[in-house]
Amino acid sequence: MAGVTLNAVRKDYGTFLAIPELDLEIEDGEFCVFVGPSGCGKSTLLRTIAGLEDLTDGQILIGDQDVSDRHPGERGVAMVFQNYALYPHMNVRQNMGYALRLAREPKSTISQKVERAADILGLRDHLDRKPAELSGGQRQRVAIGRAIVRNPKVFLFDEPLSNLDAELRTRMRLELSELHQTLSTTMIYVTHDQVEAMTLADKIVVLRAGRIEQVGSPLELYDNPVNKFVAGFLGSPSMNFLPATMTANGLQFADLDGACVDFGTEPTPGKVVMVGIRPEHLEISEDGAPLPLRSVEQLGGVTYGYAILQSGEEFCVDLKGRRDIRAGDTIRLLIPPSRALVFDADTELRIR
Amino acid sequence: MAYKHTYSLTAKIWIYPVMAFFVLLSVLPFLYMISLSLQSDAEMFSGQVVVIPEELQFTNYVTIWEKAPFARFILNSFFVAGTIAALHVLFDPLIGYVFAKMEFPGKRFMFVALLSTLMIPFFVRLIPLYIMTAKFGLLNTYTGLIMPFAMSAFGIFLMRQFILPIPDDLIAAARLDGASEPRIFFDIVLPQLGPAIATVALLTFVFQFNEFIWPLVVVSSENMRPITTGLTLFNQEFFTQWNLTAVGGMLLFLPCFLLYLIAQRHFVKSAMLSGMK
Repeated sequence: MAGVTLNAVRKDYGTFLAIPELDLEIEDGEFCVFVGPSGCGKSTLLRTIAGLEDLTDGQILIGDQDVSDRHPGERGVAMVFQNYALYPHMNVRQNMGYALRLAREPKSTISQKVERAADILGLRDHLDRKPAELSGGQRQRVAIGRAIVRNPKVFLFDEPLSNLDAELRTRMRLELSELHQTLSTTMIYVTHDQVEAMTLADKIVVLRAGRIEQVGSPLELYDNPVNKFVAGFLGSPSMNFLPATMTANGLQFADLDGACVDFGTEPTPGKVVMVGIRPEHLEISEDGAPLPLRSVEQLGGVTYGYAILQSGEEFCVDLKGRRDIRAGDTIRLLIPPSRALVFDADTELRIR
Repeated sequence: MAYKHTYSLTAKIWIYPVMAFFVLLSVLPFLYMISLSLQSDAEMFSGQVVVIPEELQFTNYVTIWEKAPFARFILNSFFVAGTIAALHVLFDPLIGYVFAKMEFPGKRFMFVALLSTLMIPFFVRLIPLYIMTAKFGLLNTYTGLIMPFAMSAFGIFLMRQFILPIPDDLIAAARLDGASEPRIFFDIVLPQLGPAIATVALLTFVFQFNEFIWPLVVVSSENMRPITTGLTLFNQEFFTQWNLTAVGGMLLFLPCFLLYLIAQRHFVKSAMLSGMK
């Protein structure tokens, strides 16, 4: 087991700069999730740690060893791929034991390690099957098993659940979480699904255009995002943003009938800001501003109402449980000042 | 239920006779070769077209072995065609893999250059190839028969097409498992090329087994001849023993036919996957 340290890591593909310069510390035994939109460089970063992409500049340490120039097989990492990447002509046993066979481990040891991993993952009955004879979930387990038998210092996961259906994804997510508790090995996990990031991570690294936007625990990022991008990326449904202007009395919204709320921020009269509020933090009250709903989603336990504001922004409200509200109805909303976050409209940075 | 295309009655009335005509057109020379191989010298030289011999001369199939060292010719054909096919099985996937999965300067240019050789007829290359073989002192040797055909642009292209869809992650996974580049090729890539390898091996073997011009140009001694040029022994100054030549033709046909029967499944699969049908 070991932590991972990235020192001034830089990666370019000719003229395209994928990762400008990045520093990151991942603690030993930590479950770290790289999250961000498509093309933000999260997979590139993971593949660079694995050694599948050459570093342009910088240093990668696993434990206290510099592995920057080492062959992927000699870094002590194991990786689980999005498309499983199982060898189709080998059965489960051979797939899981391939790395050990290459390392010239005795057959009895290989067999023992493969069977132990198969027991952990519930694959004991499938050891002699080929990947084509397995379901998506079983294939993903084999891919994880192949990583486990190598007893790596660091596990790397590249969007491992994105090919699975919703139900299986939820189950595998729990299994991965349990696996991390069992093995206590450092895990680095790449996803664009913020629900996976929130549920699995000890630490989330939010990336945009190869740069780290924020690093922290899931709730830290959820409650205290440093900028509008992080605030909007984490949370489902995502945070609402309303344009407002600073006045001496507080922030005056362009929408919501020009409501004015005092958020306690240092006023710079005339300054345009964006106010972020999560759908679940909005309050429905007779004293609130009117909002006509364009559509309503009944999900059983929760009801979401959607509206388009005059400013063109989409707005989502958690209607708290089951409500007899239909599309076209008007609700009255209050924005609790303690729950709202204010962002600079130009820099998108949080104003505290 | 799967959709099944059916032809109308009118279509059937003209499609089947047209198809039968073309099948007959292609099979007829072959059937005549069988007939010829069973004719006596008298029937052959009678000036008439004999379709079914009066008496089947199976002795022709024995005489041929006595009149020429046919066992040696067959051995030569098998050795040369087999070695070339084996070299293709080794080199074509290897080069195809490099073109499909590796990046290097000039890759595109080299691939286009390789493909362009498919456009050049063999006869255009024959003279420079002959001169090169002569300069290397390889005339009238097995090496001279084999070397120029040790790999082919078509085989490399076919292999590249087969290797391209293999996910890069599969190769990355093997690399992470600690496999060296040759290991990745032999352990991971090669086992997935079964149909393509069978196709290249079969096509190469059949093509080389039937090759006539190159052995005719390169080989001078009788014991180096393959069957194709060996048959020219029945081509004499004033007449050709067509019945014995036809027996030789049957000997050329049989191994290729048997091979096709064995590898047919792979061959069809490969043709479908590569889009070359």
